[in-house]
Amino acid sequence: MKSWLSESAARVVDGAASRWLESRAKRYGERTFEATNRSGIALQPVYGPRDLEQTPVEDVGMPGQFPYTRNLYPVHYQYQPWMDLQIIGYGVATQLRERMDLLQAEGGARGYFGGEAYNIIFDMPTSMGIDPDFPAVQGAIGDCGVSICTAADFETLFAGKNLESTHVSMVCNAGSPGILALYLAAARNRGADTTKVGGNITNYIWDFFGHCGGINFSPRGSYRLCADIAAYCAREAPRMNAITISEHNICEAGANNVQAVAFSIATVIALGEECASLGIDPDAVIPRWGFHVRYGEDFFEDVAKTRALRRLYAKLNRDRLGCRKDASLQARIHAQTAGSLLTVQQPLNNLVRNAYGALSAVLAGVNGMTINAYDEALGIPTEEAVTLSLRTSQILAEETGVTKVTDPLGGSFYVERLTTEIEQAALALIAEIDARGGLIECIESGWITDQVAASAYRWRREVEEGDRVLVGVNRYVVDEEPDIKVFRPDPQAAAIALENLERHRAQRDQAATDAALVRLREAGLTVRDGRQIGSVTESLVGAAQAGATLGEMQSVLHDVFGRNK
Amino acid sequence: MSAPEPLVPRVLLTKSFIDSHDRAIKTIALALRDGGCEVILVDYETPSDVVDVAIDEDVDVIGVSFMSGGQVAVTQAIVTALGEAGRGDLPVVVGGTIRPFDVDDLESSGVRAIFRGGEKLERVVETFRDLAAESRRRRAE
Amino acid sequence: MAGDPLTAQLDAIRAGDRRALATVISAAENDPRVAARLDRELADTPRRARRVGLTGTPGSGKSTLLAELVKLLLERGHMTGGLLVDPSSPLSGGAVLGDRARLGRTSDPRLYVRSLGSRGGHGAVAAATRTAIRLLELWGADLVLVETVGAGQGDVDIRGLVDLTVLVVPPGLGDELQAMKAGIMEVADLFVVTKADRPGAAAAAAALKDAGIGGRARGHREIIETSALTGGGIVTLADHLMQQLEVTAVPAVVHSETVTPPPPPAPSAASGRLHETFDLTGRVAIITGATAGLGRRFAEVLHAAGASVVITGRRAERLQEVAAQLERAVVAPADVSDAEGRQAVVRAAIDTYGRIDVLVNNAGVSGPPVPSEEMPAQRWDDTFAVNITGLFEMARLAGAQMLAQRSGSIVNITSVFGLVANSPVNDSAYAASKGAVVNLTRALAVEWAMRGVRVNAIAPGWFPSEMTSDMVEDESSQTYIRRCCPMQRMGHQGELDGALLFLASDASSYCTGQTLAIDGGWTAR
Ligand SMILES: Nc1nc2c(ncn2[C@@H]2O[C@H](COP(=O)(O)OP(=O)(O)OP(=O)(O)O)[C@@H](O)[C@H]2O)c(=O)[nH]1
Ligand SMILES: [Mg+2]
Repeated sequence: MKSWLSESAARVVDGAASRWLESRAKRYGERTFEATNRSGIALQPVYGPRDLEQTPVEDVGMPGQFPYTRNLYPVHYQYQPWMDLQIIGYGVATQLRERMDLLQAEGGARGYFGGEAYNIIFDMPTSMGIDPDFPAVQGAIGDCGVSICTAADFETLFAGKNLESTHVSMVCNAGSPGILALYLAAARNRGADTTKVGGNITNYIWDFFGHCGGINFSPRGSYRLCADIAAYCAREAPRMNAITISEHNICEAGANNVQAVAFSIATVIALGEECASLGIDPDAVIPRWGFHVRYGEDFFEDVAKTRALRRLYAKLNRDRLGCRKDASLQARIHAQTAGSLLTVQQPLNNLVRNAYGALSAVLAGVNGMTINAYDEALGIPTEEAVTLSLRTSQILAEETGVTKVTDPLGGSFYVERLTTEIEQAALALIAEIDARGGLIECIESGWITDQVAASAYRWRREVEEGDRVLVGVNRYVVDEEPDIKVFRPDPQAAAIALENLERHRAQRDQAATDAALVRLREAGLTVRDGRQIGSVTESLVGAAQAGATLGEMQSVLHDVFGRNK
Repeated sequence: MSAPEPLVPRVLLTKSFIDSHDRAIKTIALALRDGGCEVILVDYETPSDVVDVAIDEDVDVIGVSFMSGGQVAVTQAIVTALGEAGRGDLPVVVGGTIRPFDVDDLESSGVRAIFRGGEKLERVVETFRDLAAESRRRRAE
Repeated sequence: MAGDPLTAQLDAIRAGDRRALATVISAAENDPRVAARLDRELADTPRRARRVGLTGTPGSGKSTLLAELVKLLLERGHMTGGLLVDPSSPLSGGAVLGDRARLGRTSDPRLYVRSLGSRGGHGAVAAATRTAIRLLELWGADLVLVETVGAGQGDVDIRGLVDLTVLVVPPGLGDELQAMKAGIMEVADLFVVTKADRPGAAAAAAALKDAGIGGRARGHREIIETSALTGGGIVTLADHLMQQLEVTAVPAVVHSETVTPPPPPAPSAASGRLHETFDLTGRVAIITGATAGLGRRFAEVLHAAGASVVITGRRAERLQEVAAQLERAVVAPADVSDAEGRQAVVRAAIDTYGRIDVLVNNAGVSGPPVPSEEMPAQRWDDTFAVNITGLFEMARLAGAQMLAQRSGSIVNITSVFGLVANSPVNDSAYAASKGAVVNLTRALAVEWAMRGVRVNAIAPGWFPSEMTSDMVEDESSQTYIRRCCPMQRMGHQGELDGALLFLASDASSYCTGQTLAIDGGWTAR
């Protein structure tokens, strides 16, 4: 390992450090001023050049170089600003479309290189792959996202837009395979070339320990389906990001940063190994995987975990999964501010929280950004709140000057050391997962969810006991809460969605739909057997084009790939 | 019968099977466990599932978590179904993302407590315990 | 209070009322006395279910398997009960009962599922499990599935409650499998390798082939691979279970449409039912030194109170004679001063009955009077080997099982000469060993007081026995007794029955560490 300090420099540094210790002792006596961060890592009151020695010189390097600690690109925001993706979604397709148009008029919805970009969130039934007419889900239709269940719904949503230059990010859960298929089917129906269609399907079906409380496929079924989607997209929709590993969700579920980084990387390993076991070249699929990372809890820790994540991803993808392509080693990161830290109390404070979170994300060099609306803890955001989120990002990008230097915290004694400490702690956790038989085993045994739940509970107890401050909740509490405008979803959405669905079922070619669903089942059984990977997604797109609904496709998939509950 | 053993309240905590947010409900479950309660943690598909489980498990209180919609409609359905099953006496508590405009409807449907996040766990546990004790007393009469 | 509410509720359950079932299970959970009463009243319920226990390490797939089985059993028309036991927190007494989440929707009139906290059972079966099973039977269940977690000690006692114990093993269990070898693996009647859709299932099945013989039938156990994902193996498993349980056709359980009216009010207050606290129905007792005399009497008394007895002593044919007179008795000839013998006795109890509720440590030796200065060293050692070491080791072995059950009563038989000197019948070894029993009783009692096991002793005065047979006829002995004993007589056969029953049963639930002298007042003056 190359050394950071020459002998003479080391002497100067050590002399300064011991004088510092003396003066500290003189002024403050016994007090050491140590602290711990969210992950329980002990923090010194100040760091110095010696702390760089924790990190091999070659692990830092320059931006755009392996292991990409400092950034994926030689220069970053100076050339390519982050992509803003405000989450939008409510009601039915026609209603959401009105909002999308408004966002665009405000200067939002901007993708890379002049295209449009939308980050769509679906209501819970859709996200889980359930049709609006499933018993007793009507209360949730269009309530916290948009309700979609046919390819035609997507066609309505994007009517008149060029889907080859529109980046559509879709936040969804167990319904991911079907939702992706509906979207691609809509693109095909509109005559678009799917190899040119770009976007993102979060495809959270891999997630059994983050945002994972609802129905899903069986763990092994899920990982098989992820491989299928990745293989299909690599072939037929190579600009579609097939999997988002959501560090964000794992944090939101209550894990600390080290756990979240470790579990995220363990997921990449498990998915990569699943692909490899099916004969899929990791370099063919991994370049389209990406991360969703949370910001806003512990400023410098958030910066350091991002750098550690990039470094771990590069090293493990190369060394463990055998990736060779640069793109397979580069962790692309979409940032989102922490939703679970937003408070119902004094909701305007959330604006400030979000701004700090966004700042740490930018200093960490993320590729895309979602800043939550300050009123999210109260329900779905109002238009005003969404606009303020966008403004927060714009001020950061265009007023503060933070974009002028790439990796501005690189070389910080503190940040470099913390980066390495997080990397090492995460590696230890990954080793424990390996020792427990791998990630899927840890999911099935419940070990991993127990880890997360325990961490969440500990966090909550710290808040209760006042060890962790939440302004407005356990400190600086006011009696009278201000009246805040709250967005009220359209209670008619359910009725409209049901009517649309009924009409759709009545008008489609039922025989064609049935046949397509039979083909889907056959493809499912083949893929479950480990053959013709990619054919499930292909059959899904076919079924969606033949008029199958999301819920119909989902129940075939559940039959074949099992349910988690 | 003579003096009963110390009360172990039985609580049903439930959320929709399509709601993937379970941090809050799990945290409450652990807090209730540490507060000496037995917690049955299940997802429901329909409101009548909640009633069936509550009766078979002989719970004293029902807590329903909502993180993504359906607050009023589902709560009303559960309360109605409880009434139809002759168990209108079972206290129902809701928590999660409860929006200001949900509150009136929830209260008028007979919900006994609403937790919107940020409440002290201690107080949440206490509310459950109190409601459980009351519910048992009423049934014993 | 008008009528007996519990009786009315039992009638309702008998008529198929699941709400009454739910309420009464709670009552049994909340009050052990209610549970005890139910156990007694339901002991003779003609309706009996086949009971299957599912056990295994956390996350091994027990609940998922149970869910699949339940689905199939319902399809086959079985009235099915499910009891899902999860450990309670030892600190708060609370629990998160998570198994039910795996069952999916359970709204079926032929299915009743209940989650139970172990409530102090250290992950073992909940105290109310037995009662809950009985109640399910009363309700009409013809099959009851019980899930318990863990693979340690606690699990072994599920066996006492079920007809078949299934050990659920997931693929990839290495060290754990080794660790289970001694306990649950030995007692399992059937192995199920779950998650057969995964690599490693075949290896797990192969590893289980080495398990050797065990289970109730003391034979080779079937290994069945199942997968909840593909549904594979479930039918095979169900068929196999049915075959082992010898269920050929589904018993027809017909519920009357309406709830039968409650019978006339039962006698109120405690008076009529007081004796019930002495009842030992369903309990299992070990009696050492049961070939004759007091020991034989003890076995007969406990048996008459409802217990199943395991009798031991050195002379096998004498034990057989004793057992021949009893309905529920197992003979385990052994010398309590011999380690292997002691283990064999305890194993016989667990293998036959799955639990131990009472241990009567009666075996003891004494010899002809001898002045202490002439006491042979061997005599001293032999006396101690039986009277104190043998007794202590029996208490430890049976105690381990009782501690796992969280319940049990040990009754040590000492002597008035453990309390006062025996001069002029000089036998200092005897006196010293019996005195040691008195304080060992206290020591064990205090150590185990919070863990459900009570330890008491009886100190008989002079009673007719093999050891004392010469005294009965001997005039000088009788003079001695008249002089020292305020009642001026030996005890009669039967005069220890009450003390024994008291200490062995729940009647003495608040009594531990005590030595009850039954001696006509010998130690009172
Ligand atoms: N692949 C696969 N997974 C299974 C199978 N059976 C169970 N699982 C998974 O194993 C995990 C644990 O299953 P449970 O049924 O809850 O296990 P358990 O033994 O009841 O767990 P505890 O009650 O917590 O000890 C879950 O994630 C199940 O989905 C199976 O046949 N195949
Ligand atoms: Mg279980």
